Amino acid sequence: MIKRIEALFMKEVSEKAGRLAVFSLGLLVPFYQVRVIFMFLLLVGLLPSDAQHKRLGSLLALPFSRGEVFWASYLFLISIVSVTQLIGASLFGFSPAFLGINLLGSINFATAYFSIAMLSVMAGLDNIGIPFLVLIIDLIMGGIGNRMTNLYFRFSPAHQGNVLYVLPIALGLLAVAAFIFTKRGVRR
Amino acid sequence: MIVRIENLRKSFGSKPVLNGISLGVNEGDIYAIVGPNGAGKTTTLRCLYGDLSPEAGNVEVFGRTVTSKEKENMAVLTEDRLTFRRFKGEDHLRIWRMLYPRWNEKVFNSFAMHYNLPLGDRVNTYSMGMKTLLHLAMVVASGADLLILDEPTQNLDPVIRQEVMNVLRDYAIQENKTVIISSHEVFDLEEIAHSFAVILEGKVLYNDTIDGAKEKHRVISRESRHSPGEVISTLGNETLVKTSEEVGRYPTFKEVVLAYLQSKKAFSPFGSKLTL
Amino acid sequence: MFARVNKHDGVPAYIQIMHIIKKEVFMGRIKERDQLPPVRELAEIFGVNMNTVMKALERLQLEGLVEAEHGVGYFIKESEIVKEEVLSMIRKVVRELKQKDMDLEVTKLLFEEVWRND
Repeated sequence: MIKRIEALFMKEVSEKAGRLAVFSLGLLVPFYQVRVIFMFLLLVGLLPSDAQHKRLGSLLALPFSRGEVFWASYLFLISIVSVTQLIGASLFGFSPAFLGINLLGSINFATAYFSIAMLSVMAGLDNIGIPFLVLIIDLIMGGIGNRMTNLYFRFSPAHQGNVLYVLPIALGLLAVAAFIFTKRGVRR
Repeated sequence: MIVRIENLRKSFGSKPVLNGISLGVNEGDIYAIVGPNGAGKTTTLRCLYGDLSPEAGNVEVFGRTVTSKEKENMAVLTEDRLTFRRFKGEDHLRIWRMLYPRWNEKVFNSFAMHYNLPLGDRVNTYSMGMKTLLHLAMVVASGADLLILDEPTQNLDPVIRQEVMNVLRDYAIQENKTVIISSHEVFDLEEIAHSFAVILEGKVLYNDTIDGAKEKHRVISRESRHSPGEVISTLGNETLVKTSEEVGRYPTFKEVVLAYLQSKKAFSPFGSKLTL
Repeated sequence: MFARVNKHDGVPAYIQIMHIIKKEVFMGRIKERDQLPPVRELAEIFGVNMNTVMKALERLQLEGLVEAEHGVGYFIKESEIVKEEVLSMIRKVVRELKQKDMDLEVTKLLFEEVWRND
């Protein structure tokens, strides 16, 4: 199992070294608004991109199950998101409480949009355009009116009015995406 | 039985590709899946190694449903070959070595040396033939008991083609490996296969061992009035019949395959694009 | 010593194997009571599956040409086949045909035709 995760991580790093370096640098800026951009760019380029461009066949011909491919890609995303957050926060001297909220917020966002991108590809749409549209709508809906009275703001994966409210939504999306991917795969 | 496929159905969108494929492969068998392009060969194999989920039907390998554990014992030459971007030959090698517990470095090295594989170069700079050779070398060196090869000879020049097929056959016999090969190159398959299935439009038209098929059929003159058995189809001025009588002559593998593909000709107006 | 099986021929591989072994026995290159190579080795020599070799050996056993010794292998059986007689007949005919400047391929075709129609 460890070998398989190692192999999948190696594959991602070898294929996407340049992009990963640039995005990680961007992710070191510990402010959520900046990180959202780089997290989005990073996550659409992982499994959603391979699925979109019919490159999963090469992976699934090797000793990987679809579940392993899904979870390894997700784990890879979360690892980069978390590690860069920790490094960035320590460089800027964040308090542990502030760091905790920011870290959870990042994980929420990455989880939700990784799942949305996968669901979009599996529905026969694409890995960037549709998730970007969702992101815009998410941002607009959460930005309507007063933050105190806009209920959606609290649950929005983009705004993260309350990270603890967003967490179950993100995990729910992840579970659905993982289930469909494992059961049915990508129809391409 | 090493591989058992039962009543497999799969469609892409509204287009049915597999219409109830069933076949079984025994241990030590070299099993050929023969048919023209678009007959469903690749799709069958993709369902077998878990790249695609069939809509209906059953796939078992080593008597179990396929998980990544079973796949450690299956090595696949995919139709599109090696597609990881920016990978060098040695990067692929690292991954295969990591994933296959019975990886055999010696076997790989002898392949790499013989064909001069430029392992330090990016694979996207390889010719398709070179990619195929690297991929094949890794499949053979994987140590897996079941080898699945989708159109293995497609991009190889005729001399290497012959050599590779011989190497594969000798390896399979020596190590008692089971091999499934899809191809539309009947001549290449004939050299190496023991059993076969003729596939057209997502259905198995006929399957048997090659010897069994030769024994059960005869080629007789078209003029012959008395038909000793079921007529499959005509081949030039001869007819292939299924019979147990000692008449005419034994058919070649090529003739059996062609006769069965033609027996369904009414449904493929442009004929079968089979290389003979 | 053994020829390879011709896969592109219509004759089933196991029958070709039977023919090849018979020929070697006739030529005296395998003698009575000689042991045949192990099945796996024969499979490699002929370039066929082990089941195919087994089938050929079983048929030869039925015909009384070979016998299996359990756990040891296959042996050429002592028999009353008229090897010498057949070979000397062929040699005699061949010598005469050569004197008449006959070509091998033509002779084979004639031989087949006459054999079938006689």
